[in-house]
Amino acid sequence: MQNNWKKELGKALKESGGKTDAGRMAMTAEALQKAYRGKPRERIGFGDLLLRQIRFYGWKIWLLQCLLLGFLRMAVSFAYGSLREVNQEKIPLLLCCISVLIVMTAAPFLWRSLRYRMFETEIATRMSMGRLTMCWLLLAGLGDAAVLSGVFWFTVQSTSISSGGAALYLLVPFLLAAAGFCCLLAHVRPERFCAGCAGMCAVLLLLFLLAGEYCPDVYRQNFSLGWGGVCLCLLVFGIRQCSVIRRKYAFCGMDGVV
Amino acid sequence: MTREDEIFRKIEQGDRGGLDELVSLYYPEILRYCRWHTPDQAAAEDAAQETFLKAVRHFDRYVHKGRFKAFLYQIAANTCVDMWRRKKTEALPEELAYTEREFDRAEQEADLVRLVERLPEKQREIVLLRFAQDLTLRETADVLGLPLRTVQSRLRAALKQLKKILKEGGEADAK
Repeated sequence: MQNNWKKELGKALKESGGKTDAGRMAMTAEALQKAYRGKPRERIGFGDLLLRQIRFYGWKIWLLQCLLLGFLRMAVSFAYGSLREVNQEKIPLLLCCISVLIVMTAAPFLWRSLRYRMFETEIATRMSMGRLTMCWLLLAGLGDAAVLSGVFWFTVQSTSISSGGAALYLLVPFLLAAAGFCCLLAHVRPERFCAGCAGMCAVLLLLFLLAGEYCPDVYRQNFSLGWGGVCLCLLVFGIRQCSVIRRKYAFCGMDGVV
Repeated sequence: MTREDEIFRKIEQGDRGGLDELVSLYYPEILRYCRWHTPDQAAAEDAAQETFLKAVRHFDRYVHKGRFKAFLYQIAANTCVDMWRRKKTEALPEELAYTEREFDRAEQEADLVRLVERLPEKQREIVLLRFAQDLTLRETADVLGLPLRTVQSRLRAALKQLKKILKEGGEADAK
């Protein structure tokens, strides 16, 4: 009794769907043969895909990273005049915040593309979403590396902070944020990814601010073997998350759905 | 190895017969699905053909892992939406898809179908995929891009609503 009405429902729905016209089906098969014959079979490698993604995705994230850097530069100029005038004790905190914010610039683009599977995926991809996501992460990472190198060079030139200190306060927060970013991408549903990133970014910035307030020694460190170990651990964790992402988004042929 | 796997192996090996087999395997159910989302049989046939053509155009980006059916349904859904959007500019009357079909069914079956048509769109789609198209819950979730649990809860809600209406109808008849 329980399932009878469900069976009836299925039967009724199936019968209401109309009949298949064999002639039309044959026409479809013929059209398919024609379309398949005339189709160029192009396959592209990872390098090619990476280059194509610059056109669709890379330039946007790089532009946002440059804009963010420009905005921070302007904010510092507006507040202090120049970086030399900033209290040198605050420079490590500033570097930490820049590192976290730079990582987060990739979040909106990744979220949008993963959530809505945008046309750039359709046009450019000849491979799985997993590899495509890796491609995006790589592009974002390249932009991050360029921006952080610039910030590092500028900091060492314009402030009294040592190169080891600058490297530490850029690298550790960057790897921390990047590992968290990859972890969210690997384990959180795409629709919640952006909110997760915003939350993580807020928590990290708050932690850095509180550390400066209550434990100022944190910002008097220099790069050492121990910190190198921390960086290595974060790097390994990030790479592990990347392999999870690759598996998660290797989405069995659903990539680039028309 | 499933029939779908065999077909894909044939296509990979350049055997064109594989395409014909693909059409004969999925055309009837894709047509039935399109019929639900288009105003008439001719439009449904056009949509079904366009679905297969789009699938073939994007073969090189499809990695076969046994979920071609869900891939095809997603294309069909998008194709019907596109066709419907184009048709809308021709000032169609409201609810055309569900009011102008040449229903030629038994009274009870027609009632069931009409009940399904009155469900909210999100629930209706799940009921159609599950009962009219015989997709599994996992396949339905893949087609709609929803988590499995969401599909389960929406289906449960839809069936509960249908059952309630049927029960109320039955009681009214008894009175």
